Amino acid sequence: MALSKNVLVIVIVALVVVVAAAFYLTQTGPAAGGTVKVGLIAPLTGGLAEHGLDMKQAAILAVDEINKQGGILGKKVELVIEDTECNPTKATAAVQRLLTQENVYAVFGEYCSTVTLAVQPSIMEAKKLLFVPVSVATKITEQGYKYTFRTCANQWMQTTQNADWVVEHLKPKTAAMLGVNDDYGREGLKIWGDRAKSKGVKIVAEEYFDKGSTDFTSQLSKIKAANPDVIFVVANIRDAANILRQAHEIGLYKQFVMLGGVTSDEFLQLADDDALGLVHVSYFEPTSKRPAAAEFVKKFRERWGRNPAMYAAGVWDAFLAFKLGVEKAGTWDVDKVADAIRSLKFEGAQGTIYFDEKGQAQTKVLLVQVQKVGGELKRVILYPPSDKQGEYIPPEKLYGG
Amino acid sequence: MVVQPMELLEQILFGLMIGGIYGVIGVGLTMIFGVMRLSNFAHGEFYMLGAYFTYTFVTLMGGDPFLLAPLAAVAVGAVGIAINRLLFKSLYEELKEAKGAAAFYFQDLKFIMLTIGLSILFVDLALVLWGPIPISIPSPLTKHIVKLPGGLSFSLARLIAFVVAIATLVGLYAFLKFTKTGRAIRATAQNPSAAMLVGVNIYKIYDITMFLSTGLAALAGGILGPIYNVYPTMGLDVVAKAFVVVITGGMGNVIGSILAGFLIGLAESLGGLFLGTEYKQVVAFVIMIIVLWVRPEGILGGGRK
Repeated sequence: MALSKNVLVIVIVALVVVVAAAFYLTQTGPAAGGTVKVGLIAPLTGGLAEHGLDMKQAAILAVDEINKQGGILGKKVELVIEDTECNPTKATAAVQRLLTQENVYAVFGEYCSTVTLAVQPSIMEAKKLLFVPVSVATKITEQGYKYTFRTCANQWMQTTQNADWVVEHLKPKTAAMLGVNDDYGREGLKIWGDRAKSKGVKIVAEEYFDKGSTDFTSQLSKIKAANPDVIFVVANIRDAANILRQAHEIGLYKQFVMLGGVTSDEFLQLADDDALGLVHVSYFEPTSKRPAAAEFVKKFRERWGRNPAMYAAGVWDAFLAFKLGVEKAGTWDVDKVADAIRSLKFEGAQGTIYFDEKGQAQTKVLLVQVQKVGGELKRVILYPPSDKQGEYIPPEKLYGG
Repeated sequence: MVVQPMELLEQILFGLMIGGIYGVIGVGLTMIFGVMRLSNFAHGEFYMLGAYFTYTFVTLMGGDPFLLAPLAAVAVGAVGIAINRLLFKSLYEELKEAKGAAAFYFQDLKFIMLTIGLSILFVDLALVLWGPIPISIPSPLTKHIVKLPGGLSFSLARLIAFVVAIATLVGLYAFLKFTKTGRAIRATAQNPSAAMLVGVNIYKIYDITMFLSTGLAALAGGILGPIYNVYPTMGLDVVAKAFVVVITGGMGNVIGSILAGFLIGLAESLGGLFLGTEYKQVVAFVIMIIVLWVRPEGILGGGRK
């Protein structure tokens, strides 16, 4: 017995040594002086892992592209990826590791606004750049931080642009709202509701569901009873697919309107024909003809064999802003780089990008409708006119009376 | 607030349908607790595995997920037995030598840590095997809508899920009540030492219990997979609800869990209707707290029936 125990200890120690050695050997890349480290924080495991994957793939692609072109100011970029599971505690620990052990120059992330808000102060205190490619909470760029830059439209921008389009083009008298019961959903419903109310639309139902819910029939049944003209929903792709399927199941065929979170091919696969007719915000469409977008889509497809979702576009643009900012400043001095990024104007995957004083990118979102084109579900751009690909089709036409 | 009668009826209908599923998931968990005195925090992951196995069978063999879900349940049940033999058995043997209540609670703590670890392991395994992107299992039955007079409608899949849930619960009850093995399971639940004395092989009973418990969770996952969708953390989303059902029904009480499943399903629907849907989730936990307060043994008592 004693012998076997000793053997076990030796085996475990040997394993640890071998794994550590292998890890060390694979980690030693180019000389430390010639590289600059940047961190990506994203939910790579847990319930939001599908979105984390988009962020990770775009970041790896962006860093490879930068290095292929000779790096930034002669330095190769090294990417350190940390998983957060969208958990503020885990993310704080991950960011501490990035700041103290990896000594990163900039942090890219996160998906969840709560996580971004949780890690933002420590990154700002450490005087590191924070590029926010996905989190949309308006507050992130409203706190006066000099080193925070967001490369996507924020919640307020996308939600008001959504409400304005709906009121102008669909002319609803009444609307219902349904959202996830957290800061994202609550903020979304408040902004959309206030905007719609200010334009004379009556809100007849306001319902919430908890994270991790799979059944929405009780919310949808209440909305059905309130009989609104349009239904505004704040949900991720999984919830959105369930919501549309269950709405049709209980015979609710009104016009659904959603935010940018559902912009992905996976959503169309998941929701299938139930997605037909849905109008939603998109930050980025892989069908876009603009050269900067087409180039990104081509590279992403070559590398990963699928179309990038909009989160990937946000990450890609964040790395572009980082590279162009440092190059414009001509130095790694963080204050000068932050100033340089504020004065940038460049063509990103999401369109022309420039930042305001607060570090918020000024971008116009697209409004798209899911339609059948040649027997396949496609997002057809309705707005703005410059990108327009087709006309809006009301649900009565798609589904009958 | 004015509630229309049809709206109320619709909420009751959907509440009961969801309640049936809560019952199936809760019953498996309560059986493990009643027979093996084990709080299985990995229970939700067997539900998740059931859904993924069903999906895999559908892609490999073709056919309707509702026909293949029972097969997936048997496969996951076999995984349950394997885990019981590989991981749990040595803990039982240690328990057999330990004496007194303190040893028992210490043991339970080990089980809790072990099953939490298993839960994390399975979620990560699913992430590696099937990827993070949610999957929908196509079935023509989810597209077939049953229309009732008065504007009530639901998919045939949901109706089938409910019928399967009820049939399973009735079958399980009959099995425990009327078969020899069922009697042996109940005997083991009441007093494992006495059961052993009269010739019951309790390790075999533990195997059977694990098979039934994990198989039931997997069956629920397999029949809900086509209705909702399938993703690695889907088990974590139901396990808290399963514990609420088990505690409300009386830990280890099969009939109690079934009733509690319906009670919670219905209460959530009606709570959402009258209090506002943001309180839907809260309603379930409030019921559990009230039950623990006025009747800590559960609505039907903690009897190991």
